[in-house]
Amino acid sequence: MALSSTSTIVEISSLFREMGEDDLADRLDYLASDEDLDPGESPATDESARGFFEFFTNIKSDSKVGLACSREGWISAEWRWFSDERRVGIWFLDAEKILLSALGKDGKFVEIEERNKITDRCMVTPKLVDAGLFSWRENQ
Amino acid sequence: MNFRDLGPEYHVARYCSPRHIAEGLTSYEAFLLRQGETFLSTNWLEYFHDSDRHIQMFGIRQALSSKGFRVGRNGALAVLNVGYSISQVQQAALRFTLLDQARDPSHVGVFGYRPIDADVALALSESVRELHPTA
Repeated sequence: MALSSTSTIVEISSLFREMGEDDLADRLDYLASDEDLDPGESPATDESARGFFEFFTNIKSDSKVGLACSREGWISAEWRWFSDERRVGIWFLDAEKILLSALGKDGKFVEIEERNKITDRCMVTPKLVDAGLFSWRENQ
Repeated sequence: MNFRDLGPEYHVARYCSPRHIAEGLTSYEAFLLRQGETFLSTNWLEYFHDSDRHIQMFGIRQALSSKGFRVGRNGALAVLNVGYSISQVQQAALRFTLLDQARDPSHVGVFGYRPIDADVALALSESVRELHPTA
């Protein structure tokens, strides 16, 4: 199975399991479900999960990633378990659009002009790599 | 109305949905403002007791419940110290303002940022001092 423009969050969860990322798959399953939904909250959307999957499979990190979900169903991913002060938070609005915040190794916010803006995932990913926050996966 | 800003020695708690707790830590998602919101809703701990966390948490659960706010059983109350959080959020001039609401006199708004300010949400979530269960 491979990611397509119509992949559902359930299919994406299966893709994570195929990659051996069972914790991520479990978390996605939880965020896609109705479990613990507060009034006004929505389950995670397929589009947001596609954006996260595309990002995750392009970059490599020495931090695990934690996933949460907005009321609208947008997945927010955080990499905050680095050995230094790096920290990255990305909100996946859909398969393409993100909202970014990131701290560098000095604990200061990285100078990427797309910070705090709704912007394009593909455009920002190389900048995050250039800033030393992630590296490319081998297949890049 | 008699708004006043809380001093740095005080504490507030923010309700975090179970979906906003990742790997045992509060996600920055819990501190992002939604579109149309001008402040982050929190509750003032010292309104209920000077120092006893048990009484403070009980008071906050009661306050949320009495205004019809349903809290998830698996959620958490994230405690922020006003002075520490302000010092950690250098990219905005935050104010923790007591809103003086009859329905919830402990209600505090965190003002000074916008829904797009992910940096502030990230820094606020980093400044969380304690997490307490909602039930």
